[in-house]
Amino acid sequence: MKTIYKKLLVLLLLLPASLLAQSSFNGVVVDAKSNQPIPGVNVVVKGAQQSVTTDFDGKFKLSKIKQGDAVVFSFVGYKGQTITYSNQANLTVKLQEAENQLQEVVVQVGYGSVKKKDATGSVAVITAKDFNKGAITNTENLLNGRVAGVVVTQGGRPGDGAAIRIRGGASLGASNDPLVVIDGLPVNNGLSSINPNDIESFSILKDASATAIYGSRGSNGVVLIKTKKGTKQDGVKVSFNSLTTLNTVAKKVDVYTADEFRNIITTYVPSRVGLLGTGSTDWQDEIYRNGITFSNDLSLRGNFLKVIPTRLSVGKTNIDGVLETSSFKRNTIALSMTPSFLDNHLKFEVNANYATEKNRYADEGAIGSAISFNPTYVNYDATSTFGGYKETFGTNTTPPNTYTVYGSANPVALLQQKNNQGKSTRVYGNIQTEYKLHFFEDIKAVANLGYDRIESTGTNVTSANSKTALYNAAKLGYNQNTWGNSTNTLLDGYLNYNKKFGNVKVDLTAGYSYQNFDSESYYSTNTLLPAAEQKPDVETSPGVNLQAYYSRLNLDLSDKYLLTVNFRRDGSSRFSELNRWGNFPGAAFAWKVSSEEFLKNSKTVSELKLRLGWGVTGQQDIGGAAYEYFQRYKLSAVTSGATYQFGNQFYQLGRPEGYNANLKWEETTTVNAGVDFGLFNDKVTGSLDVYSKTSNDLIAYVPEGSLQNFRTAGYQNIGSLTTKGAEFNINYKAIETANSSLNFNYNIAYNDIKIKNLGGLEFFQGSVGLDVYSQIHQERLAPNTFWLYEQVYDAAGKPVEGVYVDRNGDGQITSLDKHAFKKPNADITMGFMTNYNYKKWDFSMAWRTSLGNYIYDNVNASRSFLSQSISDNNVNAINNTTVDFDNTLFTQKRAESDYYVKDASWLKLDNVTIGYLIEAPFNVQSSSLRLYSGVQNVLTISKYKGMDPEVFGGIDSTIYPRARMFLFGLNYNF
Amino acid sequence: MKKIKSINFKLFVFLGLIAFFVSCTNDMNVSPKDDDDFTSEAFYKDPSSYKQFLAKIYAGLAVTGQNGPDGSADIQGIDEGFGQYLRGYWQLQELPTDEAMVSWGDPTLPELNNHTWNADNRFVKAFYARVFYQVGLSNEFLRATTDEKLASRGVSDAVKAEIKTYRAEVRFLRALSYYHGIDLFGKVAFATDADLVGTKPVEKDRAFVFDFLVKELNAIDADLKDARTNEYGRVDKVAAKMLLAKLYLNAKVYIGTSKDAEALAAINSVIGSAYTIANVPYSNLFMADNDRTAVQSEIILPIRFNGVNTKTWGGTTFIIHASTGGWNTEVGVDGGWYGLAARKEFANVFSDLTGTTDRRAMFDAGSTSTLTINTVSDFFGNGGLKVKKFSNKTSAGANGSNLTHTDTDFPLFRLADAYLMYAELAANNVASASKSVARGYVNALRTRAGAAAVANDSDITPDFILDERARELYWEGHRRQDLIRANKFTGSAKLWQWKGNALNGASIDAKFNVYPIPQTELNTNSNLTQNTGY
Repeated sequence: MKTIYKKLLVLLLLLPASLLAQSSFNGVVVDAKSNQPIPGVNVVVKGAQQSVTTDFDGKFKLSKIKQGDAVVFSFVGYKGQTITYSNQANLTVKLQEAENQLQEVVVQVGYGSVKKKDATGSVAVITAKDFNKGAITNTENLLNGRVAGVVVTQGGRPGDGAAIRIRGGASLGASNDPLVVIDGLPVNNGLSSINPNDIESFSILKDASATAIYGSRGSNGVVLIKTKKGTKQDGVKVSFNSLTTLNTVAKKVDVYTADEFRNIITTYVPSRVGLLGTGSTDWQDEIYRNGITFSNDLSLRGNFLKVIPTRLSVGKTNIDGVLETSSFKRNTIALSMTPSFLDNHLKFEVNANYATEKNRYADEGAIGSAISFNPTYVNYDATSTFGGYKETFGTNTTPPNTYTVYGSANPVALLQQKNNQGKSTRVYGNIQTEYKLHFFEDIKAVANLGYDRIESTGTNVTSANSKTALYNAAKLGYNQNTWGNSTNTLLDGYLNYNKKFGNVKVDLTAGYSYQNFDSESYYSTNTLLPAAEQKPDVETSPGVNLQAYYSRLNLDLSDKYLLTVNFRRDGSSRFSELNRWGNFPGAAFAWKVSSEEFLKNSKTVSELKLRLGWGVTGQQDIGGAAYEYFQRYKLSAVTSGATYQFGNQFYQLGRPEGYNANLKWEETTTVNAGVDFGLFNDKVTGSLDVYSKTSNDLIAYVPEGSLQNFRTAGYQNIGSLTTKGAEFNINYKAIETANSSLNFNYNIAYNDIKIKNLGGLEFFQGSVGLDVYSQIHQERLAPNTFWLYEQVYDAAGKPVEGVYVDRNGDGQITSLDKHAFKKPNADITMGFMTNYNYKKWDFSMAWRTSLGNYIYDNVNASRSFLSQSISDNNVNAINNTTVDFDNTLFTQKRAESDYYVKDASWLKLDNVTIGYLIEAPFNVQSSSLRLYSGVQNVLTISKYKGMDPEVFGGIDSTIYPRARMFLFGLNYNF
Repeated sequence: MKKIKSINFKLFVFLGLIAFFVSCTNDMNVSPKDDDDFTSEAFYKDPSSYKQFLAKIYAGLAVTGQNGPDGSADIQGIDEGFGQYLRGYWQLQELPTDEAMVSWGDPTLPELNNHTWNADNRFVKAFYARVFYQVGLSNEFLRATTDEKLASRGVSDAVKAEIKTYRAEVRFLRALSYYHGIDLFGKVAFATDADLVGTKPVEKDRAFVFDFLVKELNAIDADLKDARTNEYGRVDKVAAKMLLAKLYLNAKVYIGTSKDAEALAAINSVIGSAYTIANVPYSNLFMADNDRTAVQSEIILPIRFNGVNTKTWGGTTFIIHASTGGWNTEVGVDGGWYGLAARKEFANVFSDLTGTTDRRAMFDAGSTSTLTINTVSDFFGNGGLKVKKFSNKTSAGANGSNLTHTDTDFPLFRLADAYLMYAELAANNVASASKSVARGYVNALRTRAGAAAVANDSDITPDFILDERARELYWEGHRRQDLIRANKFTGSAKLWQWKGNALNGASIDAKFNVYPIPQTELNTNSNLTQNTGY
């Protein structure tokens, strides 16, 4: 790879020479109808080795041209045009749309692709023009809010991945993550190591008729990612992107000031006023900072050695988080080569990616600690033995140099005295070979070999002077080493038969897939401990092996009626041989109404397609529980701290593990009906989908009664889950003129998930303390519905402590009085984006909203009360709390009150960007420079008073704050 | 010829493809890869596996999973520390009595202080799960060590002989947990090694289980080792007799019929065994080295803990930390948890709280003047008698091996208890139980503690013995059972602060003599029914 990189660099260095040409021919290519410039048009001088493409503004320049040369202009979706050069200057070339060829967006559908207009399933395609603008440093953010029914929850931590939910997921106990496939390689290690600027498009398969081709893995939808590729044109196109952001904390948790805290203690814990200090510290100010993000990448596209279309990109991202000491560094190299030989009969696609990540994780306990730590203290205390940080502790007289520590830890010390770093290297990619049989050209054979391996190492060091790193009451420090690796190998092969018989087009695919996942990890435990207390262990995770046979038939009748039939048979190593294989069929029908005579010439309706789909998909992904189906024994390690003494000897413990021999596939059946439309020559386009999903034999982690197994909870196939929903998206090109364009994009999704059946069981979710749960899975309710006591309020509207409504009227308050009160999932999510271009200016703004989602406010529930919070368990400590204490004055933790369930609907202005385009900067022709600036995470409107209402899972237990970012960036292409 | 060749070639390709797919399909037959993880067959290949499984069942009384103090938990759906056997047992036997109260406000914990618990109580649920987890493990051990199984694995005769003893011990441990089950819950979920894994257990009442346990304990006698000949920490014939004695002594409560004669016989056999009252200061019985010293002679069944190798957040780690405030260095731990204290009425069983006239009064001097507890929780800073009976210091004054996790073993059965059980029978005028013998037993214990000897046989009364049991055995997990046997737990025959949720105590309903069956168990097993009144 290194040598290729060097060669490309040489190529890059040679490039300016070719630009220093004499006579030249320049002009602009526009759409004949709209007069809009068309970027990316191929301009080729016939018979010469010269070709260029038009730039962002449709402009081109050919050097070394002589009179009489034929210049060919071609672009997908347009009729080609040939012009003979006769010294024209600033020629405007008008290209005519080729009939029925515009909007030839291609959708990846798994083991192949179709034109968007021929897609029969519910599929969304997001390409560069639809991507979010702004401070994008991770891949998921490109599509956040852009697709109806796809909810992306991005974490605030630098380098954090995002949780993606398509139509709310389909499972209770198994994974709800969609399958992510990068250039044909299904991955399960997240997207954080991908440079978002390498992404060409996303195809999101939402309904089962589309995802059934992925059978066992398609229940939660599929995200197919296509990365950018090289071109067949000569020359090298260079693109350089740079982004700098200033990251600030948008909102802090509202806690008492030092003076307010003094009042609280004087009033409620008078016996401890002696513990008040004289300082006045806002600990949140002490732990947060303004961070800086730098993200740069450079990519080269060209036709390597004139036969291998190649793209090489190098990216580097550095993020300093807003929480002190946290940082993320990522370097990526992506190489893609797509050569074809034998007159295009043999094609190769090679994708090779290399990424390194370096994380420094801050101790996020500091976020909670900054809320609790006594604000009347100051940070430094010359007398403190703990590195000079103010801490609460007692010095023991015997043995000497030992301490009794209590109370919250100093949040600044938590951050500064720890250094927890992780490094990882990820290599992933695939080689896809496509061979069209020479003697039988309707058949092609595709083989795909993929590989994804992550190797990581970590060190976690805490200073010996940290209060948190005592051992046997004496100072010790902490030093842990870890490593891990995971490998995913893929072998895929399929045959595709494609032929037209009269009016009928047949497209048949059949194949086999083999994928294997292995991982192991090591942790040393604290290496400073005496040897007998250390328990280093290499954990080899159970491997998972998935295999499948799949087939798909596409029939196209007269370009009006489309039929897709899928069948997949999947095997998983997670099930016994008896239950191992599952069959997953799917079918879809689409009617292109706009191809019918009565609409063919309509001025209003430019596209209309009705779709109907049905499919069954499976689920087997229950994380590490790969051996659920047979009985095993576990042996505790000699140094595990769990051995038992007979006489004077300690014996390791041999434990039979709980198991479920009957575990089998969870199956989800989806029915989807949709319509795709285009109006007024596709000035308005959109689609509407309604769907219903039912998951049966849910693989759920359910309580098991005592004496039934060697455990009290485990995986079982139990019950069913139903989801109903509707999605609508619309795109409106309000203005399309030569000088300006204005585009609005809006999507809305409604989703309603209910547990239909749970075999009469119910089980608690959402831990908010030792054995305290805030949520429930119960029949007829949404998953994770809040399940709490109904708080009684006094006349002034304040909650009466410990008084709940006796809902069943039996005269006592028991768990039977708990009630279902709201749920964390949104009913409605919306996304809105507008792009406006005027001459050289561009403007973009993106909003998202989520309605009907509720939060359990565990920031308050776990702190805003006296006993064991403000008044610490230890009589020598007091703790600050959130101002919600004013509202409750609770003496005890009342975590089971529905008082803490809050309306967390929100509206967010995710980003506003404004850009300016400079053509041919630095006097370099055919180059462009776009400068842009903006704000990310601009505005949040919500009734929820906590830091951020967008909390995955619905329990707010302090989150790493999502930064508000002020950004400046540039895109330079030449 | 050519044709045959091409057929051969096709056949070859076809067979090759089949071989390819078969070999790939075999990749789905996975087996454990980690060095701590085995299939059943692989596990039992090693003859030491039987003792490791036995150790697991014993350790089920001490630790909560395959990692100490936590991690790879045995029981799911509860906090791992709450699910520790001894912690659960101790809380249910002590917190509702005058001997203890807990200051913490963890949901449903204060309800154990003031008899307001219901079927949702998390600590009841946690202990229920732990009791039957033990039974489940025991059943599996017995299923896995039948003669046929051992023969099929080719186990050597020497190992078979050992396994015979193991099986008797496992049956004892199963009986122990069932005994705890009927004592605390009344009726129980019932399954033996004759039942298959995955079936829902049936419900059995106290009488049925009582009979079952008596038969079991008698049946295993032959296979158990003689008194004090087994490795320390493992049970022998005397432990089985002691358990039998406990069942008989409480027979009136369990089955409605007294079995005092049988109780006396069992107690006599315990007292007549090789176990002796340890001739050490009383406090040594509860210290970090109580498994190494002369204390051993008195301990019939300990639950063993070790600060390095047998770690938990329950057990004596819980008892010592939770009962400790700012005096943590005195008891050899790295911090107090400011949780447990005794109530005023318990303090009253001692005429003097300083320990001068009875060294069993091991209390924090600073707390003896503020005995009244004014609130059900969060009282530790201003009320209650602070107990320093258990300690992580050795008898020589050194700290235990770890200051967070204690070394101190818990004496589940000790000979002194048998002495007082005898005295109780004598006080109740049970035939052939002699008051003067009883007085000798009581005085043996009192003398060790430096307390004045009891002068007259007539002092051996039921009330005196109840108090004497409190003085000798407080915080060892007996109080609730003792009060119930004396008919003083529910009703108003005896009151203590916060009984019935009233500061100075109030009568409570008889339903509180047993705990409710946890609601979650009723939800997951339709064979079970709730106890009366819950």
